[in-house]
Amino acid sequence: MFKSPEKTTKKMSSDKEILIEKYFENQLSEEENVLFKTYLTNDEDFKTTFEFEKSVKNSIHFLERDSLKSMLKGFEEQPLKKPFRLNNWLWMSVAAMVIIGLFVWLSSENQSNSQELYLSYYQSYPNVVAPVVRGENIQDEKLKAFEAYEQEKYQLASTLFHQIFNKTKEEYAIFYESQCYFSLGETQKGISLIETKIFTDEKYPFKTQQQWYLALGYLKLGEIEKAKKYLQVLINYDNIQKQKAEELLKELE
Amino acid sequence: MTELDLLKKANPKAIEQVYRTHRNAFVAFGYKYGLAEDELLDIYQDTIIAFIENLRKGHLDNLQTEVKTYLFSIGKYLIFSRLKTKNNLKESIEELPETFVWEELEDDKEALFAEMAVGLKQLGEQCYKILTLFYYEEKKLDEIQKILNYDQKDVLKSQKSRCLSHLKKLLKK
Repeated sequence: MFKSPEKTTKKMSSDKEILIEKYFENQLSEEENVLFKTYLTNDEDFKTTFEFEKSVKNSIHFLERDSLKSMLKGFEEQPLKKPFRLNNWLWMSVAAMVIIGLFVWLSSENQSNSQELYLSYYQSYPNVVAPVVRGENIQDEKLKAFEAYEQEKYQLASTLFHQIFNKTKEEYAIFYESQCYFSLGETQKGISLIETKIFTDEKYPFKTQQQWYLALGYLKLGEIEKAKKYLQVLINYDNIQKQKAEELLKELE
Repeated sequence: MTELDLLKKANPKAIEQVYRTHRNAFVAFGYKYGLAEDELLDIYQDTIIAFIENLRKGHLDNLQTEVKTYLFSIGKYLIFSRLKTKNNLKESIEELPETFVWEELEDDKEALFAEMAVGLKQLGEQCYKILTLFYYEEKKLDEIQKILNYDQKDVLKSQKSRCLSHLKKLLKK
């Protein structure tokens, strides 16, 4: 008995299906590509199936693009309701409130939680290594890194400092890389990077700053005892952070 | 999750943030090509769409440039394409960044796409997910199997065929 033509057209063989599947997965080998083209010209079913899937593909593109377009147009019709860079604004206003609050309450209030203290004492360390002059030597990796850092592009800056440190082993690079993580809120990462590092370069006060930022980092993480340990070190010799360390230690006790 | 990860997942908040962050700078940048604000905003929106689409397709997994720089180079390309159509220019003036893919859909087929889109929307969430991952995000079936937690690839494959035949039926109605 012969199969009716209708029956053969209904179900395509699975190797043809796989061919179409591979086409959409971008996986056709050269040989398969030749076969694919042959079927496309000679096999009506194959062509219909393929054309249908292609129009599905196009329609989904149409749909996805169209719905995103409506969303974006919506942004135009709905001007900003709230300050948009919420995180930054929130961060800054919390910091400002805490600082103001501290001025008012510091003398009478002994109880402060570590997060608030962190916010009121933490400030990212300024660029003391390579002053960034716009337009000059922009190719210079070091300048690029510090430019990003000064523009608060900490993600980018951290990558650049990391590269510099890998190449040169210069201390400033690892110090500022860790600063980037503190600013990004990735405190543990920032701590780990410098905790065991021994800073020897006398040109910059990294050794002192290392202890200060480790203290602040642990404060942020709520590990008060560790924070105190680093503050104790700082109040035992003359350095630029001594006074602040004493203040903060008092707050914690 | 980084900004790019969120954008890759088409997170609306992240999209809004990136849209608003670069909007004014983009319009200012586009003025010098003699296009009006409306038109520039239209192009800017297409720029964002193209950017998100390429992220979702995984074309930008090794993005080294900053988002802004990247957006502006896509935008510049789209501005020039617009100028080309407007002024009937033949030569292409700007090139798209490497690995970036952007194919315009044929205008005259929009009605057809829209019709099928109606069917696609009726398919149900799971079908739409599978088809979008396969045809839009251009993921391989193996990847989709992992993303959607299918125990077996064959189950996913037959589900996908069912979705397609269901769609065919919907369109015949």
